Amino acid sequence: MAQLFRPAANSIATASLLIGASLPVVALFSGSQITRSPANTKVKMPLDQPVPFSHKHHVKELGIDCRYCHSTVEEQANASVPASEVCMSCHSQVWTNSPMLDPVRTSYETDTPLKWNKVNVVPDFVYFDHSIHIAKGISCNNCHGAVQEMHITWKGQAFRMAWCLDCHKDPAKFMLGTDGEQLGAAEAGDDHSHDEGSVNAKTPKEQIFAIYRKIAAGEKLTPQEYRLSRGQSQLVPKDDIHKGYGEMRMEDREIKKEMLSDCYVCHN
Amino acid sequence: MDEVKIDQKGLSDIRMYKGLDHLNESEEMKVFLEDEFPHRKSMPLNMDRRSVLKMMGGAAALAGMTLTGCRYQPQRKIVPFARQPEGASAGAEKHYATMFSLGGYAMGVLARQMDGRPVFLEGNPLHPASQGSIDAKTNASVLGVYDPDRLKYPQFRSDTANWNEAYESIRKELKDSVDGSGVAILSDTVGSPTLARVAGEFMKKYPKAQWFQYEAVNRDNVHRGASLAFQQNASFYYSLDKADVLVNLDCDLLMSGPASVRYSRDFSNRRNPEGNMSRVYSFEAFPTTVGAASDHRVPVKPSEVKGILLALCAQVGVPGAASVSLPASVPKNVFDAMASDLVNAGANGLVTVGDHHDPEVHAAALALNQHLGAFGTTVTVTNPILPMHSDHGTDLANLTAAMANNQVRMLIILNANPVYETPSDIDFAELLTKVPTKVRLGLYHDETSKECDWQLPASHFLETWNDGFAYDGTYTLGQPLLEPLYDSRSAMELMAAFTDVETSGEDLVRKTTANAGVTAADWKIRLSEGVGTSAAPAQNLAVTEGLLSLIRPAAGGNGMELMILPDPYIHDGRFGNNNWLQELPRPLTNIVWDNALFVSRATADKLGIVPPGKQKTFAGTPYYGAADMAKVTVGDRTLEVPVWINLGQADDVCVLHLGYGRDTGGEFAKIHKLGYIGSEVTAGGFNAYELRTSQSPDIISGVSVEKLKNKSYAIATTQHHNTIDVSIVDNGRDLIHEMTLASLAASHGGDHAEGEHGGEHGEGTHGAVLHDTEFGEHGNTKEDMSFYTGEDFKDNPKDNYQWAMTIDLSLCTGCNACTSACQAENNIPTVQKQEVMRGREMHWIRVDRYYKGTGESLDTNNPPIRFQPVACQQCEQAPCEPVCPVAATVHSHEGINQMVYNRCVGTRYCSNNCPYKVRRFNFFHYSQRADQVPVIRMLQNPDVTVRFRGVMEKCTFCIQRIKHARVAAKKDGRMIEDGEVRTACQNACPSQAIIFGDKRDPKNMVSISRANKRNYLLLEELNTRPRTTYLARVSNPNPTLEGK
Repeated sequence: MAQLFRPAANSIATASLLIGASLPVVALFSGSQITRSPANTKVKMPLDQPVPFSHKHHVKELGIDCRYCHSTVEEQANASVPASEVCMSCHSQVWTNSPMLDPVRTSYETDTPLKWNKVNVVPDFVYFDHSIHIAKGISCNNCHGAVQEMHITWKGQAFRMAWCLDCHKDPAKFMLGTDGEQLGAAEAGDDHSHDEGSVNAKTPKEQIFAIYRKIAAGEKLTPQEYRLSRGQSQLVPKDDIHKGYGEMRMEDREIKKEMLSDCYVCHN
Repeated sequence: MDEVKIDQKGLSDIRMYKGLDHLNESEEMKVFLEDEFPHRKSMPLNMDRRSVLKMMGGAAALAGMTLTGCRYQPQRKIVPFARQPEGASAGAEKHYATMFSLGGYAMGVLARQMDGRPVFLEGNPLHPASQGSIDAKTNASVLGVYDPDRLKYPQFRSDTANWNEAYESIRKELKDSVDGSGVAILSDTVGSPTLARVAGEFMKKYPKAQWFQYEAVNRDNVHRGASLAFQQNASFYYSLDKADVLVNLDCDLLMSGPASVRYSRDFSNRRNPEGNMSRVYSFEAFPTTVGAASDHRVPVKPSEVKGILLALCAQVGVPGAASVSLPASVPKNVFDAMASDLVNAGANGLVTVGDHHDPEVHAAALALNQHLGAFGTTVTVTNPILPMHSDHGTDLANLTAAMANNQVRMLIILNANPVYETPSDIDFAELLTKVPTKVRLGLYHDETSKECDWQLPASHFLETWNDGFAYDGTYTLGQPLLEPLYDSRSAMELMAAFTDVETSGEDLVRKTTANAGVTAADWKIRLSEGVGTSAAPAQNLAVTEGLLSLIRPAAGGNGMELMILPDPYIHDGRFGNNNWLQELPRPLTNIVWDNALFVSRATADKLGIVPPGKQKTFAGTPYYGAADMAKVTVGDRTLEVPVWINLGQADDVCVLHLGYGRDTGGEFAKIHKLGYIGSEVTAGGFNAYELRTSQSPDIISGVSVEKLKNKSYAIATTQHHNTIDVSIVDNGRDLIHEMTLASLAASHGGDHAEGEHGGEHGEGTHGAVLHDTEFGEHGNTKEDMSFYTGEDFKDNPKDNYQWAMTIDLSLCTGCNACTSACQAENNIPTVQKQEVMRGREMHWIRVDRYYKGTGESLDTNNPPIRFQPVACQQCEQAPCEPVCPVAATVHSHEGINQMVYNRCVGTRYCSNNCPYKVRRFNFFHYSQRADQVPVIRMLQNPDVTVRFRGVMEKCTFCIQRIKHARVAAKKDGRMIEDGEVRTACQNACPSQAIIFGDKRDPKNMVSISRANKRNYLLLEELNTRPRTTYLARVSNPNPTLEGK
């Protein structure tokens, strides 16, 4: 009688045990990856809109300030999406016959609102205030991604709570300035005295919008500005962030990181 | 501070009790004392523990298998304006001045508008009737706009119609009448000069038409009294801030009437022990908030009020006053002390009389006030304030006579609800059948609409232009906060349509103001301020000489007397469909969703009513609110009502509130059935109008009350809910610290050093109460004793707000305006009657009402009444925080005990561990009505999360308001100023008892208040270190009556 199990059976048994044991892990891992993937979060997935509005064209190519359309971003919690009237302030003069703009003209003429698909959504129990983030120098790109590069708008971040807290618990690493040279200086040493004033040369808000003007003008961005315009954090060793510019800027901008992690900062 | 302590020691054996059940330690009361959420057993779950666990396991498995927790979120839309109106932007909050009117008198309010809809009402600081405060009725009236039961389109009988058809039909009728003969209009009190002007124009066009006014709760007695006293029509109002001595004769001064909010403010200004404290004597049949705040309170029968007043006139020496014997129920020493206080006060004395007393009483009170010299100080007499002065009783009699004689061919009813509200000797529905054309403009499909041909929807006051006069004659403007939600019109728009041209409400009001001399340039300013002109000028009128000799002596009131009063919240029934007001505990009685026949304890004994304390049951289950039913007989009319024992009420008096017992008028206004504990529970009360007669609508004598055997009714009351169990601390120390003004003054001698020293730390007052504990003299400044350290901001004091609140118990009158404001601000749902019966009402701030006394001092006939508002105390060492397994309740760096709703899994451990019982749990999806009825969703405050079932919630110190202020301050690069953040309860409080702010700066209002010697902590022995502190209650009794 031949052997019931061939010598390879041992390996097969071991392998199936291992595979069997790893299945739950694999399942959990892939589950977590699927929920984090753009298929679920819709990050970097352009959404269909009634009008194929291009931020890239308007911001980067034409150089229109964000605040022309999102007019309440400095004053209110809501950045506000412009009324059809605002579109028509230019498009009554340019591209007046473009079929793409037909919905806008119809909306304006019949006084019926356009219905845009919402790209960036926070849950109802989260109370986000645009104005204070802008005032403290958190750039639009930080949350919305490189909007100036988007033809059809997509979501820049998944807006998970962990991501919010990443900055709220340690804002120093996101406290970028427009001046790359100064960051280099901070990297070199801890002496803050020489650059006093230069960090405050522009208000945090002005620093944000200065970058867009540079982008629109086609000027070359410093590496730090480039990172800022992509919504990325500082690329410096952690120690330097805390000793250097991040902490300094937090102090300048009167940001108290302990308070930022109080629950009620976002939840009422 | 030692002295304060000594004073407390003197009172330490005096217990507080919430009612007879508390005093007798009934089973039901024990359940509520020991269990935060009793009546869980009553839930229909007849299973053993094992089965419950099996079911839970099965449910969890099924939930996991089907991924019920995962769902695909629908794509949301952004819908911007096509053309953006000026100033409109999404999510921005705006405030507009407008006005609320009740009984014809205006009160200025500020409406907070978000995304084009009003969500919250606050007082208008520029308006004299409000001064920035608001009462519960006004505050809750914003709910009325979004009431899903409103009339939504015009109807002709049961057919849908439109306004043009209605106008055409009415115009034709008017044209046929040629001069308006046979046309009658019945409105509620006309307070708007614009409506009066439109009425004038209408009458000019149709001179034979007749205009009547009728409202069940009117001021006929006051007006008749004034015309009796002055021999001409006049109005008068009080200045309580000038009253050194106030004698209140059965008058609900602080809760009803056109100036109750202002009166509360003025009253509290003089009840501040650090100021010039007034002395208040109350003689009343039914305990009121002013009575509870009085220094001396005597329960008297309504029929005795006249006798007391006349005796007082004689004692004080008003010319013409005949000496009368004092009613037996008034102690002679109190009376003498009061008379001499009043004489000493002179021009700063004041005697007030309740609206329900007959005109002669009002006239006599005016004579007395004039004799004291109070005219010009505490009493101001003016020409009639209302633009169409009328006597409602006479108007109703004339109208009904005309209807009975078939003289009315068309009756237009504006807002009034006569079929429900007329006294029982008038069958208005029957009379209406004699009128060929009946037109009704009203908010609801109610008793009157049902009987009318044309049922026209009225606009809510927040949808219309309006104007009116405040209690002192200040012209007030009201503007709409949103377009009418439905196809509705206001009374002035409707009547204007029958004059010459149909004009909008705005044009009508503007024309009135233009006539009054407001220029077009001034109009916008007046409108934005909501206040048109200043108060009416005082008239130098004198009371007719020999008036008192004309006044008949008081009739002996033998037997049982019945007093019928407007409900404190739903008034005459008009707010019956307002579930906020229905569920707001009535002051003193704490009853919700119903009315009841209130009697004193002795009267209950006489009637054979079982007092609580013995086990009371409803449908076989122990239930405190089970009330015996009784039959009330007035002449040939009877009404079966539940009887409720109300401590402090006069004997042989029963009191019934109006506004209940309806069969229509909306989901909550009508009697509705709710399932509960084995037997069906109904809510909606009993109709007091059935006992009213035209002759004696308010006070009826010769009433017989008879207990019905084996009939009981479940009343929902919150009085035993959330009772703080004082047995958890050593010796049951009083929750309410109190002292007399004299003992407070005596304690001012020494010990200042400690107070001042402590003030620097803003903690000194705690030091005092803890000074012999192991923590040392400033024990609670020792940071390491606390979970809350505050370390993070040690080096950074600039941005470290430390929020705190003080509640002055000397000033609180127990009106519940705070509870109502909190409910509106924080999206607090109502739970309906059967859930209140289980102790599950959701109010974040409750006003505890206690009676005081034990042993020898126990007097259930006239117990001292105390109020204490209790919200989350924001303990620095919060007992709720360490027990939460999911860290859903944690401390913020600003000292606020945060509640994170989306983390909460509903273990209720926190609530179980809270000694103050201030946490509220959503047992069911209480907010689902807002979920299901889209129009109610419009009311929700978008700044506050709407909580779902299974989530714990509580007071947050109005965290959304703090956040708004902080963002605004940070953007401006400044600190939040003192007074910039005002919590909803603080802002509403008519007596300014609540102060909120940052306690670090000793100059801040809250720090000053905390440094007051009267400051104490609730249950301080537990060392929870609450951020909300209380200021001890101070009374100012007459020294000669001390201890009585």
